[in-house]
Amino acid sequence: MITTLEPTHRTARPRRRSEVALGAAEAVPLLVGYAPFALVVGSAIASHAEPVAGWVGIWTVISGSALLSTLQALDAGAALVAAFTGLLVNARLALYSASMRSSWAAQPRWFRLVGALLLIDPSWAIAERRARAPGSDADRRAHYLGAAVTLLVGWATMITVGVFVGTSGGPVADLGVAVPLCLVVLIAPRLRDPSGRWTVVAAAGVTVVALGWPSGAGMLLAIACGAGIGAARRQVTAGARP
Amino acid sequence: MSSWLVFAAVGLGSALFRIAPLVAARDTVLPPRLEQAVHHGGTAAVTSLVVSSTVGAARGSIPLAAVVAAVLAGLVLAVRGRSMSWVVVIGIAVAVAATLGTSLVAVAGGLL
Repeated sequence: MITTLEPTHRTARPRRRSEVALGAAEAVPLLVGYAPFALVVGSAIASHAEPVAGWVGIWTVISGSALLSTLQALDAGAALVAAFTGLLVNARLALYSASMRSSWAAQPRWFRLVGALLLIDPSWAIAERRARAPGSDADRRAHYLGAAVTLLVGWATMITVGVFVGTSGGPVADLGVAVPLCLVVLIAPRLRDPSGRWTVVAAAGVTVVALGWPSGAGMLLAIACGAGIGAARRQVTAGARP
Repeated sequence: MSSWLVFAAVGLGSALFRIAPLVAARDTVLPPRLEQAVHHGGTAAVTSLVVSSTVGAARGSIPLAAVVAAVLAGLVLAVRGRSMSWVVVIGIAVAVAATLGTSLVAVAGGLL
């Protein structure tokens, strides 16, 4: 019995270590893409009346769009509006969390708690991709933690750099083109499924129409329309099957 | 209300958004249609971010048309199963080429 268990123990740990490294490697291109945005957020924190409060917000709010919207509303002198805007922009996180319920159902409670606290757009997409690939729950856990911790530490570091050096124009600002490029990779697998295609087209269309709306409002409508149309399309497909 | 209170409120609310569905409401059974909508909601959110970040990326020296060309090229590569690094490198190359192309067209238009 011992002789059969030992090799498994010996191989499980290096495999898990490599899953952590794979998750971290998957996060790096996303971080590069987010660098210009992080510098913009850092610069906004530096020019805010209470920069330390803004910097602490990196670790609690995490989401750059929510942080920036909150800072802008605070600078305009509307504290209640700032809190409401930040929450509105981050409301999508509840959806990410809900969509991971089945994938993480067998994971230990500590991981569901820690994993939930680290959920943000790219970490959710990486977790979703890994959930569909072969492997054990422990592999998926290691992969997610590698990606999510790399994203959080890298993101916070880049914003901190932005606090001290501010935004520089030119090539750094142009790196922002990497953000949508990274994000399309995350939604590409969904385009193979008809209901996924309907979701993407509906959400993209609504976002274009709502581009001038207040922060978060257009995105919430896009999520509602995309999710509703995708679910309806799935229902139609399921009903058409014999 | 100080910035500290606002960031505490947004941070606490964001933590609840993240934790509640996964941990607190873990055993709640959703109707199948709602479960499907939740499943598609994440994709819709990332799609919305793709559109807004595409528009946002055009604030530098790269025009919107070049960013759109880059994102479409990246989308084709991603659907064909290329890795994220490939998509980013080729997409940036397309953006640079499209920017140079539009600049050349503008210069040629000015000369004519």
